[in-house]
Amino acid sequence: MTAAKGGKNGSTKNGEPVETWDLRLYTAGQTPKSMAAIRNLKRICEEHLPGRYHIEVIDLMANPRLAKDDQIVAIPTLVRKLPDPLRKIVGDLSDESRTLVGLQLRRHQEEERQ
Amino acid sequence: MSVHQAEELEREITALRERLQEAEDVRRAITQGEVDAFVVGPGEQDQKVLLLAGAYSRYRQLIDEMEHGTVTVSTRGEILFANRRFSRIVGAALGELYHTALADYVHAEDRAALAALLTSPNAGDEGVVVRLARPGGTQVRARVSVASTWESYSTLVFIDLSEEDAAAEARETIEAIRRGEVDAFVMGEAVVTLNNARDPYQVLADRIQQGAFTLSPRGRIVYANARLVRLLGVPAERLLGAPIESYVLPDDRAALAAMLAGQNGRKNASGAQAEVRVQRASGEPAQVLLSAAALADGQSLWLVTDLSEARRHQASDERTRKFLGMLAHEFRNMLNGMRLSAELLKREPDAAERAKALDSLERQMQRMLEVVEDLRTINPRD
Repeated sequence: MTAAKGGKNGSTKNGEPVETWDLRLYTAGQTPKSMAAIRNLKRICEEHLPGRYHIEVIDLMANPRLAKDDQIVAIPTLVRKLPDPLRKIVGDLSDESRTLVGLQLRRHQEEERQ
Repeated sequence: MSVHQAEELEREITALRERLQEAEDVRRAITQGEVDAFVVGPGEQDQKVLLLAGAYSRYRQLIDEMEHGTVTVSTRGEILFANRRFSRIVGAALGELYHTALADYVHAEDRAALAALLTSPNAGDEGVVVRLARPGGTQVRARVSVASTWESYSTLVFIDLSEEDAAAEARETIEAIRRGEVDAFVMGEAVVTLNNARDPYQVLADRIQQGAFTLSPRGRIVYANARLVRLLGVPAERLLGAPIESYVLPDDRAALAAMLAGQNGRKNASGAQAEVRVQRASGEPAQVLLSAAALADGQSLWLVTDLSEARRHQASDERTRKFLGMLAHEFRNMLNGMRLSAELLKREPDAAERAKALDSLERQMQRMLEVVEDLRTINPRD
């Protein structure tokens, strides 16, 4: 599921390279919370990171061993792979403000503006 | 002061400078751990060599047993000493650390903060948080502060924040569970979902042979069963959150819109149906029959019957029916012939006629055996 144009970190804004957010969402098939997390993440990304995010959905029902990569305990869990540092947000992302704080999205946007 | 006295004074000053430099060299060697014994005593006969190994070991042991990483660096940022904890944090052997640049172990974006800390060690008592690079591309966050500065050397203390991060993550997980935002857990190599994690109709919908999806009141897909995923050839995560109309061909969207409008105004679970074409990922559209039923909370459950497949099955059934009819006709003819031959054998007194009837019966039986043999090798799809 990709919204970024030009690949990882390949987007530009006024000629300046724009950082692409690499997000990984761990789900458990189509449980209500997993589905809600997918919907909420898509909405938040479209609103706050249009055209510069990449979402990878990993269904742990299909392959539970992949949980080891990011030491996942509870599902759904969102992992921000890029930008550094890695951050995790546990839950269905229904609280947008908490999600934005967890992703440090506003802080990054302010830093980019500076 | 005479010229001679001035020259004598100059020599003494030079000698004192040399001794001071020597003392400075000795101090530097001691602080850098380059010497571990001293010669002491008033005269050549009374001189003794004192080994500092014991005291040095105790000092090193104390530093090494600290639960935090400790590094002594020069003003140029060269590592002169590091304890075992620091070597474990950065995942490098102690021997590899000495005389390397501390900055090499710090994330590029955090090096400026570290340099600022070394320049103004008293600027912030709490130090700064930096990311330390570990082998394999992983990182660990650490809070670094200056424990002491002595002339051109600084001793830094690194507090590994990964345990603090793990504790924060555990707290966040517990909070998410309390808020009811989690409905599955990873247990070893298995995923366990909570008992109430799935609505009963979803469990049922996953087992039926038709495609099924649930729509939000705004017409977006909030659930899709495995059969629909296979029918459209689109991963479930892409279907979720997407408007259903994006998968219906433009010419058929009016029929869908009419169904949606009817569904939104519907309060009970009575159904509505429409035939539309849906777009598959392969590019080939599929003719489907949509049936909708209202659920609670303004959602609706939709069933998708693949008419292309149903029609293929129907055509196949028709071919099978025709084939069986033809087969029954053939068998009936052959059996009728055999019955006539048997009647003739029973009643005919003439031996020559009986031989003819017997010959005919054998030919019909042989023909029947050949047909049966053909049936054994026939492909059901032929």
